[in-house]
Amino acid sequence: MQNSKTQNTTRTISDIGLLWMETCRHLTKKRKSNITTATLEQMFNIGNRSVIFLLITVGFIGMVMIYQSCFQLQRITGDLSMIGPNFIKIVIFEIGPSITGLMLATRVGAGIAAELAAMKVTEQIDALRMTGVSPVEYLILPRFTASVVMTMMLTILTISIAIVTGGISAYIWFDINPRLFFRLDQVESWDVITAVLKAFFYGQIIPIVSSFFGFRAQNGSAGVGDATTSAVIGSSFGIILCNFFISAIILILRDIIT
Amino acid sequence: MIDFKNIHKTFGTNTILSGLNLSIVQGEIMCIIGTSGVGKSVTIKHLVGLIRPDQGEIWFDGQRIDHLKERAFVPIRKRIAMVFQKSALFDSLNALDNVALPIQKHEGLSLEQARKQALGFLEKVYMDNHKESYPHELSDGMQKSVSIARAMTINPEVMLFDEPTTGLDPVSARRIDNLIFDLSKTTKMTSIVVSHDVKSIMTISDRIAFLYQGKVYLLGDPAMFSTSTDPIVQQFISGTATGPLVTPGF
Repeated sequence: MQNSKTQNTTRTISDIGLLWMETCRHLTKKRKSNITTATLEQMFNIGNRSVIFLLITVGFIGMVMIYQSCFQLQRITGDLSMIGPNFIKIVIFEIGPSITGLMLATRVGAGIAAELAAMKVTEQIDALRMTGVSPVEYLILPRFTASVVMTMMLTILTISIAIVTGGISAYIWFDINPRLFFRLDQVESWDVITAVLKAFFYGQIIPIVSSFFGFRAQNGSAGVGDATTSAVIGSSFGIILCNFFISAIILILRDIIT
Repeated sequence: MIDFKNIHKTFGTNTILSGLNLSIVQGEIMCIIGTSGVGKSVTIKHLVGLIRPDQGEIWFDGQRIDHLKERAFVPIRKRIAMVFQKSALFDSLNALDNVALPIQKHEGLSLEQARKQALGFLEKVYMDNHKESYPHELSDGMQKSVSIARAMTINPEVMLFDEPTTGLDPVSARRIDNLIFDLSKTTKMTSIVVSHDVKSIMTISDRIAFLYQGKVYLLGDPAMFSTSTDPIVQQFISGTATGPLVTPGF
């Protein structure tokens, strides 16, 4: 029983890897179809439609983080002069990309999985295969490209908003001067590289994992629900694992190089 | 032209096909009938690689195809088209673009050029007046017609119809029957129709394969089928609830 579960998990991971490779193969292929329009539509769906949701979420997270950090720090040391630079550093390399990725996994991942799963159970995916159109090229590739681009752009936006809301709450509740708060002296180029890499990979994980579960859907509307749940769990889990490995690799590289 | 040899297929613990043998001749309309869940749709999906057999061989035009990889099925799917049970039109495209997509893909045309050709196919199924309609705006019968037009775009040698009249009112069902018959006879293509609509089968088929318990139970022309004294066949034709016919789930 345990062995079979392990085999299933291994198989799922390897199948997701194969789907990612197949998508990358299509990415480098010359094509005649009008893929740009589909990609732009997906960029709108993934990016523009997520903006408000993300801004509100990270805005509040920024405020809560600063409130809690200042509150605790005030009790222990009473020195809040370094809270701003350290907060900005953490938001850039950790909180910004990861919260963006996790939020997009719930909104975008669920949407992709539900749409593709509905197409699968109504035989539209089979119909695509029958008409000679590759479902990977036609359905996943535009979502993949759009997700990578928009996750990176949204990450920049969410980092900015978290920093701004953090700075405002620091000023209102703890009277920290914005000049003291908005300092970049703790931010290193490694932090920016980490953020870019995380956003780049999260942008790939979300559509690939979600499409995989969407394509695997079976058994009508119950199958669509299962696929959506699996997509959100799988994408979130993938993002958390990816976060760990990128952070670890960057730390090791930084130690070696500097 | 098409040979299924000793096909076995099991889903989980549910055995669907257990040694199915069937040969289909070029140009004929072969109807595959049987009770729900007997494996009619599963059989035809084997032919285009949408389902792979657990055991057995499938031959198409002298070529063994059951072991082919997904990419190797692409040229086969340019010769065999399929009309799906629930039409399977793409939700995000209107009727014209649903038909234009395979043309664009197969012939490498621009969208505008593909649309011009697609309109011709919609005219053949009398759906040109609904070219701008999306699938959810069309009735089931209309969706079936658009689906047939989409399948015709590749000028197939073989057309698979998966329960083309299921869920349609009698008038729409007979119109679809006429469409299938006319298309098959005018283009001389081979048609395989999966159905349990006895009236429809008797009207259009050249031969009938009656599937029962994972095998072909009876194979013959409509006259032979309707005059069969076999109690299982008779019960299927008459549609009576009691009798020797074992239906999955009952």
